[in-house]
Amino acid sequence: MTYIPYLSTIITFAFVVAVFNRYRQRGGAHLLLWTIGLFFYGLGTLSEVVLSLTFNVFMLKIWYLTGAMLTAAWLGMGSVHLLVRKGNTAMILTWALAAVSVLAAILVIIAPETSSSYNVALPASEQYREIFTRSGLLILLTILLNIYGTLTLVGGAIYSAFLFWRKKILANRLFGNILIAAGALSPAMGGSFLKAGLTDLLYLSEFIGAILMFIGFLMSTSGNSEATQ
Amino acid sequence: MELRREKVYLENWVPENRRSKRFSPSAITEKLIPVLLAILVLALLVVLIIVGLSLLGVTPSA
Repeated sequence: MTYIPYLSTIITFAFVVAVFNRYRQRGGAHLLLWTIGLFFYGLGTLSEVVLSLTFNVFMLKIWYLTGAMLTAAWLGMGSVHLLVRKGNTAMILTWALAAVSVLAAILVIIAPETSSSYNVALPASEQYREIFTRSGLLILLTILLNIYGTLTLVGGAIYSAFLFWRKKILANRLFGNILIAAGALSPAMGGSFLKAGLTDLLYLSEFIGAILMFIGFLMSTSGNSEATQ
Repeated sequence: MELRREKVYLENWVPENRRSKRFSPSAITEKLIPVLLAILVLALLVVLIIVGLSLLGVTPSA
């Protein structure tokens, strides 16, 4: 199972480059925010790679901050910029998220280390609770950021797909958004399995999520909107 | 109101020269897409419910 984060990291950083290139070509706050969100995704999987080789509590905290707290929220923020064009709502929410992210980073950094008995053969998701203590506020922020990110990213992609379906236009964007929604749901479900105390499939779910979202993004931006039949 | 919002959204999301690229779904796609969208909405709700329950401290681990 330890090779999965390697693959996820390669795919995610290729995805980061693709989205950032599109941002450089076309601009748009949503593309920049998706780049940031994907960069956090990649940092999360990269820290899983490092943690499968050697233990470092700072790296574990980077994994928690980026993978468990910030990724979904920043990706979702990109979708909010795409969907909410009226007034300054999206920009205000972005600044609020930036402030919450800084607070989250401080809380994670100061979280006391309770143990250093880390097994590199096991996933970080199985062990982090025993390594550092999360305050009530940190847990609350983690949950709220995940609710916000999942709702906006997945909900936004489903809404977009629904609109393209209803209008029967741009089949590539319809299917692309379906893949993005499914890809974003994958790690969210992996995380939910963990929360529910079920099997730890987080690494696999991150890998599947990265692939599906990348294919969805490539489809959506392919510019080829041929009929489906 | 809803239609106007959709129109504004599509104008933002889809360049004008591409808005006319319509497609005709096949018989399978006609049935498959609504089912897929419904499954995605359901999965989203399940995830949000589990995350919500963990907020209440009901799940084994937050």
